[in-house]
Amino acid sequence: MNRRRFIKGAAAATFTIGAGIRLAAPSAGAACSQLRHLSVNQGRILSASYRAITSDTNGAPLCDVEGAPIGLIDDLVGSLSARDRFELSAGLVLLEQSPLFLCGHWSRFTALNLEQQRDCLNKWRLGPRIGRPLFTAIKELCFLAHYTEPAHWESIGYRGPLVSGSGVATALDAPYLALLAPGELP
Amino acid sequence: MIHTRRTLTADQELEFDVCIIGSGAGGGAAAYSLSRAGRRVAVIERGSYLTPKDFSQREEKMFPQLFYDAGGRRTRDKAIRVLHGHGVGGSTLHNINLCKRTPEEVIAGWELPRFNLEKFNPYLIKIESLLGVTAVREDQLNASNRAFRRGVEKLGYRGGMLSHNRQGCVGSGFCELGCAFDAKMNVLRVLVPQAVAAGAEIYADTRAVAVEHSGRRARGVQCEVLAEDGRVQARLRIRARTVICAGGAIETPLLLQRSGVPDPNHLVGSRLHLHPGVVAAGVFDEPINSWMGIPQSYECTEFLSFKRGGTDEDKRVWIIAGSAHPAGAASLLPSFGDEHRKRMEQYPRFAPLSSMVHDRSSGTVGRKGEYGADINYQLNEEDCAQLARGLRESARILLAAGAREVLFPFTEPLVVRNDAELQAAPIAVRPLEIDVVAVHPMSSVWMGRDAHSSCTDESGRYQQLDNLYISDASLYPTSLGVPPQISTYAIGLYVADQIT
Ligand SMILES: Cc1cc2nc3c(=O)[nH]c(=O)nc-3n(C[C@H](O)[C@H](O)[C@H](O)COP(=O)(O)OP(=O)(O)OC[C@H]3O[C@@H](n4cnc5c(N)ncnc54)[C@H](O)[C@@H]3O)c2cc1C
Ligand code: SF4
Repeated sequence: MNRRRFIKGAAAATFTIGAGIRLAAPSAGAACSQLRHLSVNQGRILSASYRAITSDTNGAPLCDVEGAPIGLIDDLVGSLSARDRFELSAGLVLLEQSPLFLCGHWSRFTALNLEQQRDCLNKWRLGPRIGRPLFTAIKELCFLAHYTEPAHWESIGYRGPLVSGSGVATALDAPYLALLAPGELP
Repeated sequence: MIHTRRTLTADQELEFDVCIIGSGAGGGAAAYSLSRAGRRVAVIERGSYLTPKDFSQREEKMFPQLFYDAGGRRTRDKAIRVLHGHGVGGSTLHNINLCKRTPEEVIAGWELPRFNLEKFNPYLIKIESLLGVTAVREDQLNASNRAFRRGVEKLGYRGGMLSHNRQGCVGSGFCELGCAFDAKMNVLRVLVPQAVAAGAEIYADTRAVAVEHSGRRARGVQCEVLAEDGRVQARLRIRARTVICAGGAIETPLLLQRSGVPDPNHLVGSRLHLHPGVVAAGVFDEPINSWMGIPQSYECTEFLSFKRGGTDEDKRVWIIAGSAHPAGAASLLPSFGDEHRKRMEQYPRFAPLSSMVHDRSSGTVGRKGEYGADINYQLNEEDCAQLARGLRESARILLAAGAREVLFPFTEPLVVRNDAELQAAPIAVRPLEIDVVAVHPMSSVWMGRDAHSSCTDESGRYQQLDNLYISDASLYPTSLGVPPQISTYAIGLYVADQIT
């Protein structure tokens, strides 16, 4: 089956199933109400995924910094193409409804405990090939957000950038700025 | 001069001799050559004009600035990540600067009477001289490449130092995020200043929407200037006597399809090759810090041969060192949670090797929505077997170099600690069971002898329109089997010379 049709079909089906599932209140984060590209619900699903992906079996985060950098994940989603964003949205709906058909839990993904969430994500990771890209997409977003946080570098022995990234021009920029048309420089 | 969204705020109609779409290796070289030949040249570039201050060495900032779809572009089945870039300089902004010439046997295999080595070689030589290509010096080998070489030499495999286009390199290792030290001798540093000095006008932040055409002629190019948030802030209409498409092997076919140029045999966008690769990582006792220093400076060619016939026919894998900053490395690892933490603690001791296949598999590029790319490409069994061989040989090399273990990042991770385990290991490459990455898309609008079986003639001229040329990595009739930047720069110079 074509992947897009699978996602659309499955999304429709899970919306229907979802109507009957116990609506356990997802743990909300105030940060999720500030998002520009993700909906509040999508923010919650990605926050929960982030926690499950970047913590160990005891729930301890991989590094000392607590909380999902959902603002950064939101920015990253904003740089995806419209189609990829659409596919991700459909995938998140599927993930949220998937505990019932993947793990036998009568609950939404965000309402599961951490261990169950990890189990559910693992099922996506190892399950039918058609579903694996969703896990990969979520994992990549989470790791990109996680490992670009300087507080997380020490534990992996990474020294970080050699430049400040301030965007301030130096002598190296001068020959390039000289090529700009009049009016280009602030 | 260079124009950006800052000043391109009003609609305009402009007229030039030549309009080049794309400022990467092929477009940049064509712009350099044509403007110096006295043509009035416009270059349209979808990406921004970035200068050293903008290369912040931060993955989360540079991926969106440098790569299409922030580096997340994948084939239709999501099995292969396809990376290609935007910005004034195209993919040469973030590429790894290793330089290989087009293999002679590959050119000979195309059997094109008017495009042969004798004709093309002078362009290869010229571009190498312009970009100051030199061999990587012994003292520039980083720990990862040193370990790689040790393994290759111990096994008696064929290998050697690579050449590169860098000057003033401090070995920061951030090449794939752009160079904050201005050490890349690329389109941005070498060709753009000379093209601008010769009068070229470069329009950054500007997307070519369609090539206008009627009868057998291209008439001009419709463009949109994009605001920072992607909104269209102004439109440009460029009339030109000659139009050159140099958007790269993914975007050029999309532009032609969007423009509705005649394509009676439905060739545009078919025959895509990706030169895809897979990675195995050695874990050493000592720190390797593979993200520091020049990322790729040594190669193993024991399993790569372009000779036709005999046992060499079966050698299509090229092995080189890999490197990734933390987010990139973490994404390649299949696991999460505890297993992932354990692996990432070893990150400084990783020495990754990448195996790329001179692919016979081919695919198609089609439109996905208005500006997205539907890349339909699946590796055939032969190519999967070549990649599996690459993984196995990479592990052999890493173990010979002294790796404590070698990790194959399959969905179910596989680890081997010695030759016996490697011998017994079930190494197979199947879609979605290991991350496959392609950074060398090519040959989606290829040249050939006749209009029935090729998109352009041997001069790069589109078969159906007399003044439309292609000048990028799309032009190759097959995969090159080596990284394509030098070939593509040379193609830019060559195509420019064909325009009368
Ligand atoms: C991560 C990475 C590392 C690499 N490392 C190496 C290496 O070490 N050695 C090597 O030989 N090769 C390397 N390559 C490959 C090499 O950079 C490319 O093969 C080469 O740059 C291709 O040249 P091109 O002209 O075809 O396209 P590009 O260089 O990709 O340029 C195309 C340009 O056209 C622009 N464009 C496209 N469509 C439009 C449009 N509609 N309107 C306006 N602008 C448009 C794009 O934004 C882009 O800037 C690497 C590539 C990647 C991604
Ligand atoms: S390794 Fe050299 S070329 Fe690459 S980013 Fe650092 S200084 Fe620039």
